Amino acid sequence: MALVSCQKPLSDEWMAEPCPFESAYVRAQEPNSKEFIVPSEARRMSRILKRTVCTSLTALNEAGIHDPNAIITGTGMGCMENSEKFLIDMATYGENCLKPSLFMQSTHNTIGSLIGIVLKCHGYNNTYSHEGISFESALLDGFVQLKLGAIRNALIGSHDENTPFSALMFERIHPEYRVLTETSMSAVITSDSSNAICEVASVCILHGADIDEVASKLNANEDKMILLGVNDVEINDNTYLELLAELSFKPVCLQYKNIFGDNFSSSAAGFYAAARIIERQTIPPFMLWRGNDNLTDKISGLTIVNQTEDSTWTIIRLKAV
Amino acid sequence: MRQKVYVTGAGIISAIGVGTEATLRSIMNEESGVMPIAYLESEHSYLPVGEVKMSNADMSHALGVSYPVSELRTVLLGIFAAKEAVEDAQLKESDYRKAAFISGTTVGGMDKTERHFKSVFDAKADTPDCIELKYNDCGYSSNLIADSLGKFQIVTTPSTACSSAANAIILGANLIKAGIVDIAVVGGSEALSKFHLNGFNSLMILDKATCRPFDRDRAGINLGEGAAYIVLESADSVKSRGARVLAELIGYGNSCDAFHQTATSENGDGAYLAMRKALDMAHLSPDEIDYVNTHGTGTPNNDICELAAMERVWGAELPDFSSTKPFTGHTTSASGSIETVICLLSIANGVRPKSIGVSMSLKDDIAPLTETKRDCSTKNVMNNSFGFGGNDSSLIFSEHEGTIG
Repeated sequence: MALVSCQKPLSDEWMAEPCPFESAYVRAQEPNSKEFIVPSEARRMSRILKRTVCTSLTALNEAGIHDPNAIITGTGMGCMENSEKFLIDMATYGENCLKPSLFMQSTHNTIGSLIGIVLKCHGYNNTYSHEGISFESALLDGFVQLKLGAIRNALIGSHDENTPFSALMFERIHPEYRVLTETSMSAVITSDSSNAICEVASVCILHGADIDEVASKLNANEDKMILLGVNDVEINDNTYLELLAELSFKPVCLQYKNIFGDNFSSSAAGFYAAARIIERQTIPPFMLWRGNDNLTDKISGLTIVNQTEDSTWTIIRLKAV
Repeated sequence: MRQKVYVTGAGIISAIGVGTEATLRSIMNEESGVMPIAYLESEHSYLPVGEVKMSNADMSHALGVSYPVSELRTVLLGIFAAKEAVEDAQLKESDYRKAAFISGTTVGGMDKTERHFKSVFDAKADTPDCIELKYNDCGYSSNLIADSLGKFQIVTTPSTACSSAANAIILGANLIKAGIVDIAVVGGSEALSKFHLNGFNSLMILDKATCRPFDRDRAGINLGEGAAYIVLESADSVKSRGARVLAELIGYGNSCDAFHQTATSENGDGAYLAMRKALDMAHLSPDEIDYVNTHGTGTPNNDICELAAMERVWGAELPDFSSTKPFTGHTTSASGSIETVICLLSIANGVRPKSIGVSMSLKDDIAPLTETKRDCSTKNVMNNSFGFGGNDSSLIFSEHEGTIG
């Protein structure tokens, strides 16, 4: 697994000393791409593409896999910076003399296919672009193919950038939202449990779900500890409180957006944090949100529960191995 | 035992008509829908494209929808095709909660973004118009289409450029095989946008005449637009609903060419592997394929590489093949499902569409169908979709009559 975010890149220092947010729009801290990409190639890549190469190669390295059976990518907005530049050029210069390079690196699947090209990987390659569940869609695809035995391993990633212009628009449309960030997260999932960080036990997407339907999917036995997409915005957090009120048990509730902020791939940062918490059996105190009384010594699992603006809920159950 | 996935409904809208019946009529009558730009606002009005012959207002009126759907052509097209598909499959309200809606798109609401971008950008976002740029992403488009049908359990959006809809079909089949859902409404929708018309134009791969896939003098793509969906279903669901089966999805393969963002490798590695994987899953030998609806865009690069890949699969004797892009234009993210529905029509009606525009075949010894084959029993059909970035997918559908039980 590897993560680039507003925290120190490709590092887990955030678990001990997280960087505080200094404004409502925080860009990712760039990784040192020279370790992964030769400068002549790096020059042609936008930020999001460099970040993707860095997190993908780091995650594969940690997993000891160099030719994954599948590369499955989530991205809510794709290569936003290049798309925006192309739109600006079209608005400024009209429809002639436009640069093909911007268009070539503006589609959503530019990210996932770049990894295919870098790794010369002919395996399954797919990209999902569905707002805040892009990551969960990619994970579900890989998870299902592992279950079916179609693949033995997959590189799953989710990557989103935000430009200064998109931040201005975001602020205008969502004045109540505090921190807009960027995320690049890559993880390798495999059917081989040796050396595993944790187990992905289930992946569930519920489009337009009611609170009671979501509550019915959680139980006291498996979901003692849950990681929620709360972000200190009342309208958002209230729905999670409604869910907690609907449950017949009281789980320990953790949060991650106070560390990683909000963007279409931020739930992938939540996934990363959850897996590291299980691996290290340590909960950074600033992640505790509610129900601290029920903390136990051993972390047997952590269930990630997120809700998007359109009331799609996702439930990812991670377990210790 | 191999889990079977059946097709129980289909819907389509493209330049050659609204609905499967109109589409079949155009194929039989060899009528192309490619014409100079009439609806998209662009400086390149001389370029031939495959537009759906209705304005946004026409479509909104016909569907009885209002803002914001009325502003989002991808959504309007999607609703037309998806409604036909679920009506064809006779899905009931109670069926949706165990169903997925998976809709490929890349353009999403980009057409709306580009109409409002300049005013918002010039105002440095200090304008209420910002909201006009907000809900134009791919996922939002799929949500609007899905929610117009029913309360689906899963809604998501593959976005792999020109293979998006084919990859939607693959995910739907895998979700059914894994028992996550019983039914999946899968396909794609894509409106023409100034953004990608100019993008393809900047790459200098748009033909100023009607496109001629597999012709020696082919000079590129005519872009098109449209949407198509099919309803996939598990055997148990087909039985319990008593659904009528149109065909079986017997094989599919997805492979990355891993060569270049916008060009295909000379030997068509990704294309070859996608076809090979699909044949292996289907347990078919290549000679059992009756007809291939190729990706066949009409660019010099795609067609020669696709043929090279096909020769690696079949050897010297290729099956009947054609590109139906001269009929519909290249409908990019929707092409995988639009051409899938054409393949289903091919199976049901024993018709193998001709490749329009071939006066001299790209290779001396290999030619696509230059005459429409009619009354020609067609059992197994392959459909290829190749996207930018080398996202290559291949699907195989097989004839299946009536119900199962």
